[in-house]
Formats: sequence, structure tokens, C-alpha cells
Amino acid sequence: MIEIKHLTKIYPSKSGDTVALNDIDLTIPDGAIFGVIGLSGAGKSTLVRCINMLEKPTEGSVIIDGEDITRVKQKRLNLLRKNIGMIFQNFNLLEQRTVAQNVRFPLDIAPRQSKRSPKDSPVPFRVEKARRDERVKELLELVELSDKANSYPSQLSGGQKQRVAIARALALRPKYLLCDEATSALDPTTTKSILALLKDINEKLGVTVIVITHEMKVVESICTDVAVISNSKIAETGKVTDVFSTPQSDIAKELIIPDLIRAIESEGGKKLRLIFAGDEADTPVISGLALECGVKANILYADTKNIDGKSFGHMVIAVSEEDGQLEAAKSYLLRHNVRFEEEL
Amino acid sequence: MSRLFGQLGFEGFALAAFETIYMTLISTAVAYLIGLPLGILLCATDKNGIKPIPWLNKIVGVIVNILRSIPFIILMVALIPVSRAIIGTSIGNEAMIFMLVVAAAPYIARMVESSVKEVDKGVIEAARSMGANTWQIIWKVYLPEAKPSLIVGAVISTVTIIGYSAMAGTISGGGLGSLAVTQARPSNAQDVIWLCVVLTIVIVQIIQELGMLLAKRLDRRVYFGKVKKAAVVSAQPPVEELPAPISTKNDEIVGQDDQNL
Repeated sequence: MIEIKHLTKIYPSKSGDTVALNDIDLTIPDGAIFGVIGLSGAGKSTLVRCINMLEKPTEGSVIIDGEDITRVKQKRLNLLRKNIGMIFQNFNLLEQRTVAQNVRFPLDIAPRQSKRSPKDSPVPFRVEKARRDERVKELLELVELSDKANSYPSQLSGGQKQRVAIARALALRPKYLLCDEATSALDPTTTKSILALLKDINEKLGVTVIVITHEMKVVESICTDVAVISNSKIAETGKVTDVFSTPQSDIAKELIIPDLIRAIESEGGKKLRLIFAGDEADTPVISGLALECGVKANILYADTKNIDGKSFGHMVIAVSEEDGQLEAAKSYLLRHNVRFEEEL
Repeated sequence: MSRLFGQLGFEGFALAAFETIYMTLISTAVAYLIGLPLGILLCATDKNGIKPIPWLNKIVGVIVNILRSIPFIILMVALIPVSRAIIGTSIGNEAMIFMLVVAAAPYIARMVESSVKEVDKGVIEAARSMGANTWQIIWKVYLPEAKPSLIVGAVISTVTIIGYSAMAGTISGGGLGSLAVTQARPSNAQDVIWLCVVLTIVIVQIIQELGMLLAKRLDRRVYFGKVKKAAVVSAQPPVEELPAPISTKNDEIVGQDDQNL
């Protein structure tokens, strides 16, 4: 489990300090695919870099499995980092090493087993070269790139490079995997396959994945938990299903349901926002309203998202206030257990 | 044809050319033993480096700058007593190598520093994220990743040292510079001077071409979509289209948000 407590990061400069993170509290449970979403400049990249101390926080602590890594010595930090894989937007592969040699890199620098080596190493010790090569083979099979073992990074496509980076990040069987905008440089199809791979890794290997992104689709398609970050602060956090069905903060609404906001802000009639979370999505609401209550509802917006195999959605309808139509509509919705909110 | 030209014969010129090459290569090698670690140190201890040590960086930087700002011909004269004190003589090939090393090492340190600085910051960050320590980053990231650029730097340094060696030849050692300045010029043997010039050009060209070829052959990066021969080591021909890996089995995960209610 990763616990982030009162994390603050300030970049001092002559023209005034820049606050990148402001008193962040966050708990990332084991086994989760935890999304951190926000607009660019919100501080999400700084946040993920503080988790493995690529950035030193100004204040606060990052506690990983009970150990505050902001307070450990460099040597211990290097060891703990091996338990936290990381992939990047620009892949960051070693250009002069082959695919196989790139994947072998963490194995080559794994801690040696000796009398002086730490007893509580979270990662496996260095093994002989033949066994390292075996592990590399295994990893390349996992990311479906066995045929590219002897290619160089410059001969690969973006998606292939990210697969190599994933294999490399997983070489020492880390418990955590940080993904910093890992799919932002990829096209939609490749993004899908990389996300599927990350989900697979989470499910099969039990790796806790932390995904930093500005793309809603990424969170929507693989994350179990999400934190929305805005202006260096956590605006909202929770299960993806909760945050997506009933976003509370303005920034979350803007990110998750931007068109809905626009629909609500448009002119004309009283508006109801219907919230579908799970099975009610099958209820024929609109025809029900028309046939049973004679309510003429105008659909301004409708969208469902598939999260964790369940349908979640919002629909905004405009209903005339004349002839008690609004009241009729509300009582119909209450009868059928459809959650709704009156919008101005 | 001048008398000197006849006296020297093939052997005379060959010996001078050999001395130039020999002294250049030895000086370059020794200068690299000093300059390479210094260059890495300059890069690593920089405030944005992997191991920032500002005071050390400042001291080494200042020393390197001082040595680099003295013109070689002056440095050489100034080094005569130093050479006498350290290696016991201020003439001959050994003294000349000493002077060349003193002049070239700071130059090489800056060349190495700039090569290593070119290594992608992201790659270094990735290595740090994998828990690599300073030595591991130097040995496994800095040097291998900067290799092509380091070789190009070595070629430039070697050519510079050939130029220095000609100057050093005038006061102490042998080589083509010494031949042209101390023997040919007093007797006005223009043909000897010009042959020295031509031989120097040939030596520079050979080093330049061989070095660049080596740098290219060892570079695993591919430019403009072309795959270099050196990169072709995989069992399968790597010259192929690079389709994005499409995993169809998980297509249902995204893309279902357009359903109507």
C-alpha cells in the first residue's frame, strides 16, 4: 500500500515559488489500478515522480508498505525503487542496447547477494547471466515481442517501444508500476492494446498500477480507483464507478462529462439529470415517461460508459413545467428507482 | 629537388610521419585517461547531473578553463621547466608527449562532457527509476549511450593533437612539424615543407575517415527510416514495416461510450 501524506512540492524560482503539489493526501490500495487524472500543469506528473523520489518533496511523506521513502538513505532508496517499475511517455529506452538488453538492464543492476546485502530486499538478487536471459525471454513473451529481441529501439514503433519499456519495468517483479502518461504519445489503437496489457499485468501478476493521464478514456477503460487533481490539489478521489457516476467537484464534472455540463447550461425548460449506475440502464425511461405519464421529454444529452463491465451513464432531459409534467416525471422516476437530480 | 629532400629519402619522411602518428596516438591515449574521467565528473557533478557536487564541479571547471585558454605555443614554453622537473628532460619525444597531454586533457574533458550531456535526460531518469546508482549510470548509461558521440569527439581531439604535435616538434621532439620547421625552413627546402604538409593532410584524413566510419558502425540508432548494416544483427531481416501491435482481444474495453440509452 502506498500512503501519501501532506505531500507538498514547491519549485522555488526568482520570480516567485511555484506550488506543484499542495498538501496531497492519497492512499493507493494494493492490487488497484489507480488513475490520477488532471489537466496539464495540474501537478500529476510531479505527484508520480514523488512516489519513487525522482522529485524530492518539499514536505510530507510517501509511505510504501510502512516505510517512509522520503526519509531513507540513497542506497536503500535505490533498492526500494527496484520494487517500483516506471514507464514514461517517451519510453526512455537505451538506444544503444537491443530490446533484450534493455529488458535485461534492471537484472544486470539488481542487488548482489552477499553478507552485506540487506535481508529485507523487496526484489530478487542478481542471478547468473544465463538465468537473466531466461527471464528476459519470459518477459518478451509476456509483452508479445519475442521476435524483436535483437532489434534496436529505433527499429520499433511507439507501441512496441512501450511494450519493451513495460517488460523492462517488470523485470525484477516489482509490486508497483508507475505509468507517467504512458499512452499519450500513442495512437488510439495502440493505446488500447497497451492499456489491455496493463490490465492484464494487474490481474495476472497482481501488480498495483498507478496511471497518470490527462485522457478520460484511460481511466475509464482500466482504472479501479481515481483521483482527480486540479490546481496542485486533489479535487476528488474514490472508486471509478462512484466518481464517474456522481462527480462532485467542478473539475471532475468538466473532465468526465463536459458535454453534459454544456447541455445543462443550455436554454429552455426545466432540466433533470438522470443517473444510471448499473442495471437500471435497461429501463426504457423515455418511452415510459411518454406512455405512462404523457410527459414530453426532450433529450439534451445521453451517454453511457462501460466501467468494470457495468453501464454507467447520464442523461439530461428537458421537461416542460406546464400541466404538472415536471411533477409527473419526477414521481415516475422515483417509482422506477432511477436516480436523478434537478438542474438549474 | 632540394639537397635535404635527397638526404631524407623515403626513410626520412617515413620516420617523421611515423613519429607524428606515434606521438599523437600515445598523447591522445594518455590524455583520454585523464580527460575522460574529468569529463564524466564535470557532467555528473553538474547541478543538473546525477550526483551534484557544486564545489567540485566549480574547481575542476575553472582548472580546465584556465588550461584551455592558454595558447598551446605559450603553454609549451611555460611547461619546459615543469617537464624538466617531472620527467627529467624538456626535449625528446617523452617531453613532447607530456606537453601534449597537459594541453589535450582539458580539451578532451570538455569534449567528453558535451558528449555525455547529449545523453537523453529521460533515459537517465529511467535508469534512476530502476534504482541504478551513480556508477551504474556512468558505466551502463552515460558511456554506452554516448559512445558514437564520444568517438566523434575522439577524432576531433586526435586531429587537434596532430596540430599541437607539429608545434611541439619545433622545440623538442621529432615528427613532421619538427622536420618542416627546424630542418627544412633554414635551408629553404620548399619541397620538403610541402611534402610535410601533404603527409599531415593524409594522416588527418585517414584518422578522420576511420573514426567517423567507426562511430557510424557502432551507432545503433537509425535515422530517416534507414536501417544501417551495423544494426542488422537480428536473425530476421529488420527492414520491414513497423505495424502497431494490435491486440484484438481487448477491444471491448474502450469504445462503448456511444451507445444510446
